[in-house]
Amino acid sequence: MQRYPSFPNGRLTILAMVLAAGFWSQPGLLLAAEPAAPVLTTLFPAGGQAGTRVEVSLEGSGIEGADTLWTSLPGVQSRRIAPGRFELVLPENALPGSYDLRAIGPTGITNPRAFLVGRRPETLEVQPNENASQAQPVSLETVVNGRIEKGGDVDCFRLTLNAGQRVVVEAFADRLDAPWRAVVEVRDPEGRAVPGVRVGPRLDPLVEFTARTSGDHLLRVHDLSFAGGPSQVYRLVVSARSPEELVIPPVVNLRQVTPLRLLGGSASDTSAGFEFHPQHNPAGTLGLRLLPPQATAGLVACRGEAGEGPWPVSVVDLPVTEVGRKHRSPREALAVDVPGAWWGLLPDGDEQAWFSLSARKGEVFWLEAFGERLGSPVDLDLVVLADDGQTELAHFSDRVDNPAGYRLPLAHSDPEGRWVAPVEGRFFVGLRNVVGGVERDPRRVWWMSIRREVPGFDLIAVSRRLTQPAGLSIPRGGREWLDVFALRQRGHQHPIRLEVGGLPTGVESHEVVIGPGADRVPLVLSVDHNAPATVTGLTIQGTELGTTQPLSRNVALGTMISAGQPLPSGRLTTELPLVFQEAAAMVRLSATGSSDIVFQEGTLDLSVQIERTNPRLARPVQLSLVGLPRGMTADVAVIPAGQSQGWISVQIPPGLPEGTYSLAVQAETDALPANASADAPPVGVVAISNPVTFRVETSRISLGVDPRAPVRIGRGQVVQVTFFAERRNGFIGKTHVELVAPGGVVGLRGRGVTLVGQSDSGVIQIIANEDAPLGQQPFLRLEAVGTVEDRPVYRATRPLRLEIVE
Amino acid sequence: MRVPNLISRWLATGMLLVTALAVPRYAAANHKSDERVAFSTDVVPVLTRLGCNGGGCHGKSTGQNGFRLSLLGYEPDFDYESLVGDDRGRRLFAGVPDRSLLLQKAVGTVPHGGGRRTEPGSESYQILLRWMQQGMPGPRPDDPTVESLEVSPQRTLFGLDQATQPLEVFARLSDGRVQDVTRLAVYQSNDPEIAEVSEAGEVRRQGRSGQMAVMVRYGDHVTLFEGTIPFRAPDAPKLASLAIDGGEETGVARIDRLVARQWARLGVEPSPAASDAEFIRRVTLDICGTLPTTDEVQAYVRDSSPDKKLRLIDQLLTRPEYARYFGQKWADILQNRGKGYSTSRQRPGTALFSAWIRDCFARNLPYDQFVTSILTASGSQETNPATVWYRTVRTTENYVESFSQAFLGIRVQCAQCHHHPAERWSQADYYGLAAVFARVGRKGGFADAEVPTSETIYLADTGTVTHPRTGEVLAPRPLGGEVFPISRYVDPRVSLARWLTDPDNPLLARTMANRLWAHFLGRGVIHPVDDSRSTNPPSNPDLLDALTREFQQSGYDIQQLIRLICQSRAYGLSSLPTDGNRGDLQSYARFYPRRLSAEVLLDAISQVVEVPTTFSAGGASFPEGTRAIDLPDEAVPSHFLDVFGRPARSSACECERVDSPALGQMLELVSSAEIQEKLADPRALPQKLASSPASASERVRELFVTLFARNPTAEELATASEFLSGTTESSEAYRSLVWSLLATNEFLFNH
Repeated sequence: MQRYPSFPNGRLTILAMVLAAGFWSQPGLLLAAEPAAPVLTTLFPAGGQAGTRVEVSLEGSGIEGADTLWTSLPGVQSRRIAPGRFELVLPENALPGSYDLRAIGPTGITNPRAFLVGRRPETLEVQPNENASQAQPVSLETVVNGRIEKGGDVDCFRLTLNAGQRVVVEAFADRLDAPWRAVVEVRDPEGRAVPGVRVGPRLDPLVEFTARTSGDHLLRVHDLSFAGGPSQVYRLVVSARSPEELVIPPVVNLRQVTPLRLLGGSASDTSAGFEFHPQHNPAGTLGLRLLPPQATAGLVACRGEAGEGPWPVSVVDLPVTEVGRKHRSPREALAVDVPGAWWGLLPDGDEQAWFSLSARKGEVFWLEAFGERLGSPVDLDLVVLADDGQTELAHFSDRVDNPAGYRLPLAHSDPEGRWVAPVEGRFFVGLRNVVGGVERDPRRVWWMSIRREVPGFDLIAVSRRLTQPAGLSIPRGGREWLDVFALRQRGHQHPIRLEVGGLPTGVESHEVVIGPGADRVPLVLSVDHNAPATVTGLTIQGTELGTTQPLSRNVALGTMISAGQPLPSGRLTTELPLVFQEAAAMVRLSATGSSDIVFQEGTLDLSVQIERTNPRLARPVQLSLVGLPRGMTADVAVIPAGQSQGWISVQIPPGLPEGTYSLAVQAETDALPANASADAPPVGVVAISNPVTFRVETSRISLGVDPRAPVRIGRGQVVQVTFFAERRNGFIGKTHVELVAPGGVVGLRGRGVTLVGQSDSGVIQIIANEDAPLGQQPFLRLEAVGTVEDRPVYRATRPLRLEIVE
Repeated sequence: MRVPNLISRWLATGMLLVTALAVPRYAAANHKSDERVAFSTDVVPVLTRLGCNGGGCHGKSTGQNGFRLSLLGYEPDFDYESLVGDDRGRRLFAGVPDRSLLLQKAVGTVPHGGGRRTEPGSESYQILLRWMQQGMPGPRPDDPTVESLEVSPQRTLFGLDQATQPLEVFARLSDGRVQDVTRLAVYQSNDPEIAEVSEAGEVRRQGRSGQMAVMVRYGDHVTLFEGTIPFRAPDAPKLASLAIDGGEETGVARIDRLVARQWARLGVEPSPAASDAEFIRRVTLDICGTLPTTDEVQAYVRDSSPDKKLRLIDQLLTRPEYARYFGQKWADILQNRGKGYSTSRQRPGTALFSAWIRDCFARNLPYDQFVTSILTASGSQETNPATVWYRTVRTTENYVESFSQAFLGIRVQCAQCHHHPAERWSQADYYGLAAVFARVGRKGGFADAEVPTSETIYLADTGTVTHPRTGEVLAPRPLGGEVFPISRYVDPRVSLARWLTDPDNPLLARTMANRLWAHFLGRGVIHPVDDSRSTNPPSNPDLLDALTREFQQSGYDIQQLIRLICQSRAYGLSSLPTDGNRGDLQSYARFYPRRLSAEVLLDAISQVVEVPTTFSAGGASFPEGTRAIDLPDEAVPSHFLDVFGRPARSSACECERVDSPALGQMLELVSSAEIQEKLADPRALPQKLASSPASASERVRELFVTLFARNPTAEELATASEFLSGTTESSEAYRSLVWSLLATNEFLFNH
């Protein structure tokens, strides 16, 4: 009856089922919190002028010993000049833009912080500058780096202007990953507030005005709520030029040379144009600061001839057409052929753009619009109307799915969806902005595509840490993982295999597969005990499985900006540096699946081996599963103190699509660091196993337990459990049903039942030994084994909640 | 002579009019015993007259002791069922009608919680009796209905010796009959101190002079009688001269003439003009919520140019304090609430909205655009701070009531549950307006406070409002307007904004004109400013019309309207009453003093004592020098502001700001640690005065000018000097003197 080997002590080592766990494991119930990864909270100044030396100071936690900087800006030289202080030499030819900067030390590598490179001369704020009399003089075409040090702090600057001079004062704070909302006020020489404040790109303020009188103008910078702190850094750009915020067209064909124009900051002027050239505009987004939802917009960084920019533009393999503003109703709809991409503007609040297309009955289309993901101040909706121009057939709004949760907000307001033509004929597609109000805004640019059902996908990876931004740091001899999410498009369902490139010596990446229709998997990296010190940039690629011409995509990278925000806060990064921590791993975990193939309605058991590098402290280890497809749950298990092996199981639901999946086991415990004294408090440890990849196949047996089955059994007593084992999907062979548990059933005996012929139900008799352990045995279940030519082939299981009582 | 001729012509015309109105135009149409008694037009008004269906009795939503009627009889079908059908018909006894519970309770022969309501044999009694004798017929489709209600006379200028004015009331029915319902109507005076009205419809003057109105109700109709009880005999020559239409006359001259015409009509004499010092203090407080400095006062007093008043007003309108003060006033009306949002995570919303309002006033955004921006606000609070209005205004009731009260000056709350008892608004009006907002969509944001914040407001695809009684889905429409012809992809709020700002719709401009007039003159032409209704008429309709026209013609220019009001003669009058206007509270014959609002008072104390107040909230400290009028919301902690009536911003009603005196305020002035700390601060004025090399009298003069914008009288100077010389500790003496002057009405009030 017992098909699983027992552990040496003959007792089941999994003691308790505690909680149902999903993809994200529950925090340790018995254990101390995991040590924080090094976090870079403040970088000041958060930028510099190309071709200059810049001294930056770093603040954060776990970065005291940081001695190296990592930056995504090519050609930068850096050296540590004091604890927390570094000198950067920015290359003369550095292109303007937003780059990542991280600190590296014994505890690993930090999360990135934005570092902006520009071409204007830069200065630092000089204290005191709290009021008009202390205002620091600034001049046009300069950048001031400052910070709001404490609550109530107001930084004042003096700008001398002549009447008629046009000025733009723009603050950068949100775009520096700084967790505050900056306010810029300008007062004229008479002390009057100068109108012209508006929200610029992102949430940062921008004041654009023409001096009415000559004299000293006062610039005031403060926090919206008058909070303050060292991380409230800003850059104040004082210029005569409006910043260009958007590029039009916002979408280009990847094979065509396309003239581009910039939409000025005043949103009324367009600057001189330049071209997007497929050969000259390299793929990639270096220098751009992008938000997570933009990972699905196909954006690349385009620059002007002199390297200015960058600006994001979507690149597609569709014909791109500009749409004028005369197609404002179904009656005026623009007739379009599918597939295609169209772009235009919706400056007026109630403006709409309408298209007409012909379709055959049953023809499937995918509609997708881009607005918010371009940085355009719109919230788009798409509707499909019947030929009468009235009857609404489909309505598409926001993409609210947010698989990465608060770490990386992937939801956005751009609409997309699938539509099937109900009859042959003409249909209307309408695009509108639902936050237009009555104000006119020339920056409201959009593009839209209508395609056949050609599946596609994007991938994005983010640190597995839920409550803090983090880099990828791995202890020697240990493992670390990233969570990779699939953002499937146009009905994509195929499994996606992930591969890591650029791995240094001593690092192993296990192949993992995002299952069919699933949207997540843990990407696990293992480091040898003797791996040589290195800092390496990794790349990750995903390739779909099961198609003749498999699609491949580079995995975009995301990072949380700061924890504790009321709203999700994250952005994309461009590189994934891997750093080894000086300390060795305290725990190493290995997992082995019970089978390479699991049937729907079956159970996958994972045998877990835990290796503690510090034997002085052998505390319980809590096991949970990560990487379960959404909607699947698994019980948590615990390996008792002093033991090193255990089991954890997961029931495969009947609806899980057939295909290959990967998951891993996460362990949470606490341990004593290697160099700590015996009476030192233990620290929390989180470890992950190697991933386990398995194939799910179609269920051939459906096993059910009578809901009236007893839930308690007394020692020495006998209970009967009625079950139903329905053969399906062509299986007609013999079925044997028995009582099982990973590692063997303890204290109970079940008399197996074999069903032959037409019978599909039976009763299994269970006897409790006199010394049966009290309580509920974890992962206890009935298992039906279908045999083909007397070989066990098909399996189905059904959990059995049976508590042993006196 | 021309003028007397005009006077006599005007008076003759007036007399003819009064005579015509006083004579009953319709023969009394009392019921004969064989005439059919109609339930809707006969029985229900009797129930109203007797008070049975009032909100305090059976007309309330839960009824009274198991007997429920529709409020004031707006639903006759429901009332018939209640009377005849409910409780197995126990209230009526068709066989012996005078034994019916209904009549026995009404005349008190059986115990009745509402007491005795009428007498056997009264007309009311007889109507009910005959109705039962006729078999208690219910409402029929062919029953006549009341089409209009008229009172005669509609208005009366009381003679000096005239004590009463009887009213007659006629109902015009749909079948063409005109019925005298004087004895069945209900009367209510809006100012019993000026005149009361009897149950029989006789208006009787009381002690005070002025204008009053009587609301007359019959069935579901109301009409109005307006009475004017002059202080003295109307100034006929002046009245005649002012009665002439000014033709092309515009601006201040027109306003002055219309106000003066009212004075002449009421026989009231205006007070003399305020002094320059009084005026600059008054106008600086009213426009900027700030005391003028000593230098400003002295410069203004010295200035002898004829246009100095206008220049002063213009200069005040460009000061940042103007935008801050009016920004705060409008933050009250727009319910920019911090309570429940006072964590540092949530304050950005109120701060953004507050700053947005302030900026609108700073750049003098035309009022129609200001309102449109708020009404149609869409997007996130970060990109469009006006959406924060929808953070507090988020339910059907909020939408309708806040909108109506803030922008139309109408209190429409009653119509949520029943027909408005004093207006024409029905439930259909209420929910039709609610339908305008039914598609206000909300998404995003977070909710760690009482309601979500940082939401995105958008045009939702669907959203309807149903009539709570009929279940009918109502199309969006404005109050009293036609249904908006819009498609599902168009925001009904935009249509509402267009209706509101249409040049032919004076409501928006009228409400704002009245609100600003009230702000500066202390009382609205319609009072209260947000209770405009046919039964609460303007005290000077022509004045309000003129202000409205000026405002509309200026392109809703708020600053221009302020210039107009502040230059008016009425605004420049002394606040001291004279024998010719004592007791006047309506005609602006003198400036009505009012206590400084909480924030203005605290700032004024900080200013004169020269020690700023420190504010902090939600873990943040506001920069030193932040004034109370700069605060983004009402949740920034301040005991002083709470005691002096800072509003909670829980409604759009300006009445939330309490400026009436209270014991707590006096105690605060006497024992406030905050004020004591200010006075004891080394930087404070008392310490400066104590260490000043100037003479004692010079220092007292400086103190008076600083606090009151005037020099002390000889008596004040002597008293103060004597007090100072009688103490050995100079700083303490000046602290006491400053403290005592801060507690005077002259400092506490704008006058």
